[in-house]
Amino acid sequence: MIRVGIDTGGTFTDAVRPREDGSLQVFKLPTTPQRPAQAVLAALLELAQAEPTALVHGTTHATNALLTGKLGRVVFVTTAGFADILAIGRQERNELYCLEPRPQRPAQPASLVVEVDERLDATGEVLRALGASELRRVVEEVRRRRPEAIAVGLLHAYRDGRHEVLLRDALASLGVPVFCSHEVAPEYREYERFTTTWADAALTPVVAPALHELDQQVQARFPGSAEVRILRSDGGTATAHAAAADPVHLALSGPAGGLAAARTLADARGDGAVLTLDMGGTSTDVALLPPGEPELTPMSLGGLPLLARGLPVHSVGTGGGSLASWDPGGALCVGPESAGALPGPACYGRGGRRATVTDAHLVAGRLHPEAFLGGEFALDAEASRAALTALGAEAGLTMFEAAIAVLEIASADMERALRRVSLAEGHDPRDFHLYAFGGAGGLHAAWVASRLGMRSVVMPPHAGVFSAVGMLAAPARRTLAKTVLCELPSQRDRRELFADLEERARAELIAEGVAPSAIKMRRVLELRSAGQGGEFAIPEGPKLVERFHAEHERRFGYRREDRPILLVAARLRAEGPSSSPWTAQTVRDEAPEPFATETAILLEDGDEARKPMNWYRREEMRPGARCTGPAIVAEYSGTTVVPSGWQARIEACGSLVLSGPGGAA
Amino acid sequence: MSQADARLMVFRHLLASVTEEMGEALRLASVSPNIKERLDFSCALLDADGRLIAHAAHIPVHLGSAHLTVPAVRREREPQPGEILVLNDPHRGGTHLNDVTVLAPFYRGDRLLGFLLNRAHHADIGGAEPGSMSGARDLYGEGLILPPIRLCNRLEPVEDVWRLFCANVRDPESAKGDLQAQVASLARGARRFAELCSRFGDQEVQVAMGGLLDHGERLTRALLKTWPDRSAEARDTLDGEGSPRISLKAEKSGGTLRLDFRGSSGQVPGSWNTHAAVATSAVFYALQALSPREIPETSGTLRPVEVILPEASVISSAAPAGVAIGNVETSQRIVDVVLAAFRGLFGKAIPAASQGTMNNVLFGGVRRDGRPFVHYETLAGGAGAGSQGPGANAVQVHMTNTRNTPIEVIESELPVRITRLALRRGSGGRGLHRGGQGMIKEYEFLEPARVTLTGTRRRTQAPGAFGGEGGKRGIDWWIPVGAARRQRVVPGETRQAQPGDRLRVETPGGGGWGRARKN
Repeated sequence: MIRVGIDTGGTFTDAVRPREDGSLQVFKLPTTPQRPAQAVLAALLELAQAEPTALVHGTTHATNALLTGKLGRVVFVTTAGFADILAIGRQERNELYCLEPRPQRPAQPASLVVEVDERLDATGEVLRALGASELRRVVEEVRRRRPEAIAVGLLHAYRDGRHEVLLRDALASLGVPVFCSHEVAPEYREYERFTTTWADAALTPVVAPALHELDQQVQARFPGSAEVRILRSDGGTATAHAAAADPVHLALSGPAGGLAAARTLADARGDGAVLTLDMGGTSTDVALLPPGEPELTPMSLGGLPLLARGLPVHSVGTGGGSLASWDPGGALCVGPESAGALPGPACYGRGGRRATVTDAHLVAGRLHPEAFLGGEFALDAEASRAALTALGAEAGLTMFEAAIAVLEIASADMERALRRVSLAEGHDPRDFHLYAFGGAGGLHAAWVASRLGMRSVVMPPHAGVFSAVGMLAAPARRTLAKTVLCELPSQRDRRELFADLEERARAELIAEGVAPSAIKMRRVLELRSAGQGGEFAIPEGPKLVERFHAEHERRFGYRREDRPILLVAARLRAEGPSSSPWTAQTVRDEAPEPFATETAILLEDGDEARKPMNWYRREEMRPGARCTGPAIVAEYSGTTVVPSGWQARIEACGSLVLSGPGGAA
Repeated sequence: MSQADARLMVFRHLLASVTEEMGEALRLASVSPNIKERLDFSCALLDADGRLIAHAAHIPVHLGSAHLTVPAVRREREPQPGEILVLNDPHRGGTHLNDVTVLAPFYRGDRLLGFLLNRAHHADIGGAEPGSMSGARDLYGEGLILPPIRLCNRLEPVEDVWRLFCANVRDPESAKGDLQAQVASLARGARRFAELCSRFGDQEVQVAMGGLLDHGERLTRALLKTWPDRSAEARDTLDGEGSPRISLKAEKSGGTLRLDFRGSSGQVPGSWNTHAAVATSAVFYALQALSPREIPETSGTLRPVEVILPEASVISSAAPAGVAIGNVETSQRIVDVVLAAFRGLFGKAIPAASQGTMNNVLFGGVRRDGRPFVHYETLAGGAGAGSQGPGANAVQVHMTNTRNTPIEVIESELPVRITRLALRRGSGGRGLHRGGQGMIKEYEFLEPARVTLTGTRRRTQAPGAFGGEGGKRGIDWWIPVGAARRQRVVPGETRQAQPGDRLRVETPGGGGWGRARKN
């Protein structure tokens, strides 16, 4: 069976398929926003033809539905006295300084909330029992509100789901999907759990039909020989049916593809922790991928907290299209305003007049008009020069000085973001490798890396379809958790704790056709020092207590051995086999010929002179090819700057790897 | 504008990154729910003169006070290399006793380059009642007073100070953990700041800090210049004994603003007073909120603003005035008065008054098994409506933005049950745009506890604006176990709860904006 990865983006649908020699076949076509399945099917037919096929699909459908509020009609059922929990949230406003704050909360009308007379306490004991007549009353109240889906969120259900189960069973008679908070996100903190459950319910009526339609169409074209799998936020896949049943896990399906690809590439290279930098037109996504299995984190989408954990991605406001301007206090600022796709940077020649980050790169000689998108897209260098000249003139700066300042500010913003994602997990980025993708990532990567004390930058192959490549590698996966909140139990008791989760994950994976012997389980304990604010994940295994204290010291600088260790949650990740899309090719040491030698500004510490440097085409560099900075490597979908003192080399798997002075890649 | 200003934002990002790192370190290592869940803390980077350069804040009330700390400390001592100082005395660089400030000078060799500071609200700091915010007539009754003293020397803890601190608070173990987290946060900040200095050179970093201050000043001037010159007056009162008054004459002229608070009441017995730092924070906040774009949080921003505070007044008190409630309540009223004056200066862009209180809930006691417990939280209410639409419901307003403690967290960690959490419907003031709704929260105590609710807008309403009506006043109830009748709670009084007793807080609604259309 062959695998095809298809990523539906806002503009293009990207599809990839591994060839027998290990190379990738790539197909791109415009996305069909009204009927996304149409472009997916067309891509599949192009790449798979008549062979038995596993399609792995990444979709932004759930993300967009949550952001735009195009959601199903949900009735929310909750403990009596607490109907307004979704409306109150955590009571904070999003902006600290705003005369008229508009807090982000789930858009759930009060008229579609039904209270139920029941109550558990924090230990799971029943304070008010849920009786049969109350169940009947609730079912009737819910029925009258004509829901498309039902979300049930009761206080302390993470401890004991019995009342939620009673409600689920009683509400089943209404014939619409019912989501229980203890199943969707068995974690404590009611607002976050209820919001996640609500989102799962609200997404189902819009996302599930689209997934089922895709599945049916694929089955119709490939009767009995095709399988549709969907990439979820955790970087694993589920069948179309399983994904449709829990669509909140698709909220970050898009970025998960790129991160999954980065992780598999890092594994293939033997790299430990990796920071990713994905620079697009309007923003830049950064993420931290620690070695091995990345820990999943709660997410936030459109201001809503989602406990459906995913790979941790953060966006910063600076992208290639971010606009530069002088603020009223006379400081040069980059972003958050963006020129967007239209008019785009001045050099796109679509009517943009204001300077963007991309224009600054062009002026600084860091983009080559003949190499940008293979020369298919003509850049208007004159427009960039005019924009930056005008920007500089406002403050008596030359065009070059203005360009340099714009690029330095953009890089400082990225540096701050990369630091933030590292520090939130208590890491120092200097030990990491920076993986850059997205068209403009290579223009900033080595520069930002050296500022963070990092010594190597990896520019993966196929960066233009990187998410789709990640889909090829993603295994079938289930990520399950249980909040416990007790003193760290013995290893035997912990084994029992995991047994439930393991049984459920195993059953679900086997139902998806994963061979029982191929299932890998990873058990992680979220621990905190009693009373402390932050819990962190320690893999189950020997010397657990010592590893906890060591991690505490690494994060906080001191040990707290006199306090008990609290087990907050047990997390299980169960997955089937994964296949790496990266195949090593024969390496031959060679020095490629530059296609041009032109002047550019490097922007290394204080060096703002324009220097002549060699330009190479990545497409002409075979594995083993190397060049020495200062140099620029252009490829169809991006440009990479190699600073002086740095080496660049194409590796066996096709990555362009930059090594800093004294560093080994 | 100059070449140097072209790079200011580079330094702004990188210096802000230092304070963000300090904040992350503090959040992760802290112990008490008030810090780890409600994020009631802030971190700051100051220059060698103690002026604010970068700030990672969740709490506006901390905003304008950081820059007054170092000058106050210097009146007593010059912080030496390797020292970490602790303080909380509001009249000597602090805000109120609960906000424990930890401060370290940052030296490069023998050259002082700046200071790192963090300030975290400890749920209890001793004093008459759990939570340290009630029952006092003056500062001595409010709890442990820390003048600027050494918490660490040569980076090693001064054990006697830690022991003294722990002996004076009701939950010493948590307090010690929080204080350790504060020290760890400074260490992280110092490491990152040192890296920046090595990268750019001490001199360039110092020049950039000066540049950021000048930039803040220019931003405020530019903001003020967009409005016509005008003057306006406003006044409002507090619910405390004798209804202390806050009066303001505001005058905007060109790029400057003069805020004259003379005419406000003198300082009062009890805890309603604020130190000048808090009044300055309130002004800082109002300016920030007025600006359509983000103004970096630096001392420079305040340069074009002349704030005249009468001495020994309720908003600029002198030792030994009590200030515990001033920090949380009087600070809100100062914002109300400043925004009311702004309405006269800047017109319809300014919304109606928000709930104007923090609804402070404090309780504590000793569990049957002997373990002490203390809890502090503030409750959301209605935001004022404005030109853009109705006021937000149940949201933290103005000088605070702390999150609530989740019901499941409170009930897991404290002998308390939450029996109701709801919007207080009908509490927002009527108007063309309706004021935001307040909130109802009801606590049932499972073990004996000392309980205090401190809030304002119980006697006055959050006023409406431009013809809108005021929001409903807050109202609070004590519901004794088994009793037929509930009792009104007098804000600020401390009650002894028996198991089963309940406290019900109904927070104020926001003011309406514009005359309601007649049907």
